[in-house]
Amino acid sequence: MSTGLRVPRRALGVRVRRVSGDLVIGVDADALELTDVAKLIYESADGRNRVADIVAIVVARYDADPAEVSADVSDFLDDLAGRGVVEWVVEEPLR
Amino acid sequence: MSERTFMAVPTPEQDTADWLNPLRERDLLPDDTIAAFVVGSVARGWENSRSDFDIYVVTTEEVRTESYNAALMPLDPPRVRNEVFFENGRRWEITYWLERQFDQMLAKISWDRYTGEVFAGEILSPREETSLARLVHCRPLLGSEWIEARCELLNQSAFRSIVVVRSLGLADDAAEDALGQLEAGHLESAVLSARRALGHAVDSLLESAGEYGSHMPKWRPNRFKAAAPEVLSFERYWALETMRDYDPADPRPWVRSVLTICQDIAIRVETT
Repeated sequence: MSTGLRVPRRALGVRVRRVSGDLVIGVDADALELTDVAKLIYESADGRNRVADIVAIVVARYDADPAEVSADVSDFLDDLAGRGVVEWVVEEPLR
Repeated sequence: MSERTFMAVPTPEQDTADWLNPLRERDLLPDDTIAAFVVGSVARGWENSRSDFDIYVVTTEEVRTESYNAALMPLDPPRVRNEVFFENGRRWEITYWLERQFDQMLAKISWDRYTGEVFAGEILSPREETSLARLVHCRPLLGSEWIEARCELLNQSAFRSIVVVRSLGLADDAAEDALGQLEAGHLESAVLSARRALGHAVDSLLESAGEYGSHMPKWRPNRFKAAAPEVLSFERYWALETMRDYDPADPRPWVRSVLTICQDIAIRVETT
């Protein structure tokens, strides 16, 4: 499966709080703060959007270069997956 | 007790006299009454023919009648007194608060307290929380200005954040239970935990909209309709609450969908 076709989903059981518009995520004993584009990516990881869809969401919101955004989004989601904050959906995206 | 002298002017549509006369006839309205207001289902227009009439009376001195009961409160003095009587088949419960007891409860919900080290769920007792919440939707009978001033203090306080964070924390705890129970194959327990998580998560959503009263879940649907949150439609909420999509042969999809909704709510509910 190509990177863009992967489907990320926010992992259940992860504690999330919205504080003054930003997100604070509990990762073990630490707190991960997500603002702006990071928050948008996390919120978009709903188990239906593919990485390519999330890239399109970010590009539309920030009027950014798709090629540049694509790598950043993918890297960021891989980082979140490594922390257990998101997980990759194995099956086909829910449409 | 005699009729108080500094009565606020009631609005005509409230039929204030109808509420106060039964108290006056029984000498249950002290001279030093600062405020009196109807609370609970009647105040919200949710009553039925079996509903009690609950009235809070705020005074400066402790009330001592012949037949009072007392409920313990973590305040000074550590009790509120109440009187119960029946009229026309209705049960009336009059709860007597001291003004300083309300002040003490309001002092507990400061922003300093909220950002301190005390767990949000331990700042107020359930009875304190319910009593403060009842101010918001009460039906004033006497002392409208006093009531409005306390409502304003409540709005400026950390009350909303405290109860929202408390409910989100309880939802998280229940979700964690549900996931662990799913993994262990205790599916029925996972279903119960997911239901608990849903209740707390929805409560946080309603509290964020100023619809308090989470210690009385029987009113959750009414509160939901009153809040009308954009995050979740009533139809979807009610389908979850009544387990419409639940499959007894495999509860796991239902549990996971409920926990997903709980997380969606947590992402969108502002805590400050």
